[in-house]
Amino acid sequence: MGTLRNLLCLVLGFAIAAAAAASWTPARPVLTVTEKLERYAEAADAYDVLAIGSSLTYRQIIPSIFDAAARDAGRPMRLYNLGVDGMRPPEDTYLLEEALALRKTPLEVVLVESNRLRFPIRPQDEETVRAIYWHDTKRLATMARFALGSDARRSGVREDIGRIGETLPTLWRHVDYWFRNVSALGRGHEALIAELLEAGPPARGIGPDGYAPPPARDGLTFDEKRRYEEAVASLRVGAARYDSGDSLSQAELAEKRRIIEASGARMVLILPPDPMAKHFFPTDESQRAAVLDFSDPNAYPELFDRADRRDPSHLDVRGAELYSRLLARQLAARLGSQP
Amino acid sequence: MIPEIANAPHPILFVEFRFVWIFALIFAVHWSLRSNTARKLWLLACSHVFYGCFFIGNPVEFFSDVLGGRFSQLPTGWWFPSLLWLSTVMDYLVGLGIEGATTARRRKLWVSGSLSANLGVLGFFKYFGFFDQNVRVVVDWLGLTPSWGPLQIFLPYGISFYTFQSLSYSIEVYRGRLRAERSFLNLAFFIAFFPQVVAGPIVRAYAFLPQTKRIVSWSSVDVRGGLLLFLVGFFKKACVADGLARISDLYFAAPERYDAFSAWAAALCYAGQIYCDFSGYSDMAIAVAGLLGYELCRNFDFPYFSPNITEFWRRWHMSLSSWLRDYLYISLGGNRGSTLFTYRNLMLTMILGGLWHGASWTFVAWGAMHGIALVTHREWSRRTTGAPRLGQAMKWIAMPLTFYWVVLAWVPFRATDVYIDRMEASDRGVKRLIRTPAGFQDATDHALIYPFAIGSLEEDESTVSVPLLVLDRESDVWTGKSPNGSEIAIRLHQSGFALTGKIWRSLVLLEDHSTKRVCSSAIVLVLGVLALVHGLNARGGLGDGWRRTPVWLFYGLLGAGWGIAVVLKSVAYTPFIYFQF
Repeated sequence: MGTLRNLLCLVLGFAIAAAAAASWTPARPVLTVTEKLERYAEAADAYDVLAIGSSLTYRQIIPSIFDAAARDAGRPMRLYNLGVDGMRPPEDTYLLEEALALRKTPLEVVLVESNRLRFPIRPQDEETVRAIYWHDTKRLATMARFALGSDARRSGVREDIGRIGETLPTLWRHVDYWFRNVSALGRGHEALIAELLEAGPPARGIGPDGYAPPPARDGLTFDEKRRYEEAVASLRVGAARYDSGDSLSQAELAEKRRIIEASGARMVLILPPDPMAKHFFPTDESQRAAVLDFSDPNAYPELFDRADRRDPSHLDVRGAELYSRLLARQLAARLGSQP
Repeated sequence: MIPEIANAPHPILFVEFRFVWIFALIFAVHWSLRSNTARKLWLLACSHVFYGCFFIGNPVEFFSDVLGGRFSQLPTGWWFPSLLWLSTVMDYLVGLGIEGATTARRRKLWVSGSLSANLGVLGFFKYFGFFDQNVRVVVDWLGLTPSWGPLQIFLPYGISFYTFQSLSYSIEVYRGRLRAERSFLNLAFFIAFFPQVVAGPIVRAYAFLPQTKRIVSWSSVDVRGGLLLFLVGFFKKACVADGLARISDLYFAAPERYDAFSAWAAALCYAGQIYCDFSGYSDMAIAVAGLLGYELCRNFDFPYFSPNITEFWRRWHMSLSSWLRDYLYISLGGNRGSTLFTYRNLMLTMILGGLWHGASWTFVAWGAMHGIALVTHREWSRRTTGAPRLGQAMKWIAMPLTFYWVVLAWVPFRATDVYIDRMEASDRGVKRLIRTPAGFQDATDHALIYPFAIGSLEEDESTVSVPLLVLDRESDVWTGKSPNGSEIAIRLHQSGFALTGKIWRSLVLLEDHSTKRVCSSAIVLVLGVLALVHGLNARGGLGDGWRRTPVWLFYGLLGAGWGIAVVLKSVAYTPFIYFQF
C-alpha cells in the first residue's frame, strides 16, 4: 500500500512539475515544419488548396505556378505547400491536423501525396526534435498496432513472434519519443541554449507559400542516368507501378480522408512522377476516384524527361514548373465538373 | 585518435529512457531472486548483455544476422565483449597461480604475466595506432615513405577501466593483501558489473569482492538515497554537462573566430561540462549499484574547490588517482628516495595518467601540466613549512590559482589533434559527418554538430545528394548557420597544440582573435548560479534534511525533480565523455 502511495506521489509530482515547466518554456522549433506552419498560420484562410507530402511535394509543387495555371484554366485557386522533406504517414497526418486547426473556414481541397505508413525512424531523424514532435498518443497507437501486426497474425505464430522480435525495438523508440513529447523533454534546455547562443529564427529560405527550391545539383550522375532510364523503360512496357501496402497504411489513408472531410474539404490523392518506387495505392474503390496519377511515363512523357531531373526520384526546378502546371490543370478539370 | 567503429550502435546511456526500462527489469528480477548465487548469475548475465549491446546494438537484429549468415553486416567490433571474458579468465587463473606459487620468483612470474597480458591488450588497442602514427612521422621526417598503410584499430569501450580493475585484483593478491578468489562467478561479477564496467569508478577487488559473498536484504538498501543520487547524476549530465557542451564545442571548433571573453566562457563551460559529465555518470553508477545492494567507491569530492593541486587529485577521479598512487607511483618508488627521485615519480605518474586518457600528445601535455603543478606544490610546501604567515596569505589565492591551472590544463585535454577524420565535402557543403572531436563512434554525431539535434537533417532517403547543411568554406573551417539560426563551425584538420596555443593566448594574455562572442554574457549568470549551487553543496547543502521529510512528500518532490530535469534535459544523444577513454 505504502509503495503504491509513494509511486502515485512520484508520478503526480512528475506530471505537475513537467507540465508547469513546459508551460513556461516555448515549443522547440522543428526544422522546416515550424517555419512552414508559421507561414501558413499568417494567412491560413487565404488558401483554397493545401498540398502535403514529402520532398516530392515540397520541392516539386510550386504554388505560384500552380495558382497561375489554375487561373488560366478558369478555376482560380491558391495553394499552400506543406510538404516537408522525408515526411511520411503518420507524421503527415499529425501535421495535417495541426494545419487544419489553424483555419476558420474550410479548405476546398487537400492534395495528399500517396505514401504508405513508415514504421522505422529515419536514421537522420534519430534523437532530433523532428522525430519527437509528432509522437502523440494517437500516432503511438498506430505504431503499436503496426508493430504488434494484425496482418502478420495470419501468417502463423512463429512468424508472428519473429516479426514482433524485429519490430519491438523500433516500437520502443516510438514509445521513447512519445514520452519525450508528452513530457516536453528538452524544451527548457533548448530555450536556454537559444538564449545563450543568441540564436536567431530558423532561416530555410521558405517562401510565404511554403515552397523552397531544392539545393542546386548538377543533374544526374552516370550511374543515376542508367538506373533512371532502366526504371522508366520498365514502366513504359507496363511494369507494376502500384503497391497497396499493408492494412494499416490503408487505414491511415482512410483516417486522413475522414479528418479532411470532417473539416469540410475534400481529399485528392497525388501519385507523383517518381519512377524509382512503387506508389502506394488505395484499395478502397471510393478513394481511387480521387486520385491524380502522374506516375505513368506513357501518360505524362514530359514529366519523365531525363533533362528535367534533379535526381532519379526528383524533378529539377524546370520539371517542377511543368508538374505544377499539369497538376493545376488536372485538378481544375476534376473540380470543374464537381463544384 | 580513435578510429570509428563501422556500423556502430548507440551505446546505452544512463540518461536514456530505455535505460529506465532495462534497469526496472534487472531490478525486479534481482530482488525477486532469493539465492545470492542466482542474483549474481542474473547480474553477471545482464552485465554482459549490457556491455555486449555497446558493440552489437540490438541483440535480436545481431543474432538474426548471425543466424542468417549475414556476417558482413555485423558491426566491426562485435567480438570485443570477448576481451572482457578473456581478462576475467586470465586474472582468475593468475590469482590462483599466485596463491599456489611456492616461491617468490613464481609469484612474480604470475603477476608479470597478468601485467603483460592486460597491459598488452590495452596497449595494442589504445596505443598501437598512436605508435604507428608517430613512427610514420619519423619515417617521413627521414625522407622515407612508409611501406605500410595507416592502421585502423578500434578501441573497445571500457577497456581502460576494466583492465585497471582486474589488474588491481592480481596486484593485491600478489602483494598478499587479498586472498585469491576461488569463485569464478564472484570475480567475473566484480569485473563486469554493469554500472561501472564502461566508465568506472574503478572499483578495488578488496572493497567489492567481500560484498559478493553476502546476501543483501532489501531493507538494508538506501532506496531514497539511491534514487536521489541518480536524479542528481542525471541532472548533472543531461541538463548541465550537455548544455555547457553546446558552447564549448562551438568555441573549440574555431577559437580564432572569437574574443577573449568567449575563450573564458568556453574554458569554464568545458571545466563544468567534464566535471558534470563524469561525476554525473559516477553518481548514477553508484546509485544504480546501490539500488541493487552493492556499494561502489566515491569518485569525486568537489575537486574545483581544492586549495591546492595535490588536494585536487585527492578529489578528482578518486578511483583512478588512488589506483595510480597505489600501483604506479608507489611501484616506481614513491617518495622513498631523494626529492628529485620523488619528483620524477610524480611526473611519470601524471604523464602516464594523461596517456591513460588517450593516445595523443595533448593528453601527455595535460598529464605533464598536472605533474609540474604537483611538483611545484610539493616544493612550495617544503620551502614554506616554517612560514605560517605566508601560508595564511596564500590561502586566499590558492584555490583560484589551482582552479586557473586546472582550467588551463583542460585546454590541451579538449583540443584533440584532428576534428573530423573523414568528411564527404564539396565546395557547397558537408554531406555527411563521420567523426567528431570527442571520438564518438557515430556517423551523424551531435557532439560537435549539435545544431543537428535541434531539427531534422534535410535529406530524403531518395535524395542522398542533398547536403545536410549548407556551409561556406573559410580556409579549413566550414562555417554557417544551424537550423535554429545559431553559428556553426567545423574544422577539417587542426593540430591540438596549435589550437591550445590560440586558446591559451586568450586565457592568459586576454588576446581577442576577433570581436565576435560565442555566447551572450548571460553565461556569466548561468555559470555563477551553477558555482553557487555547487559551493552550497560542498558546504553540506541540505545535509540529511531530506531524510526527515515524510516518505510520501519525498517521492512527490523526487517526481517534481524528475519533471523539471526532463524539461531541462538535452534532446541530443550525447555519450559520456569518459566512454572514449
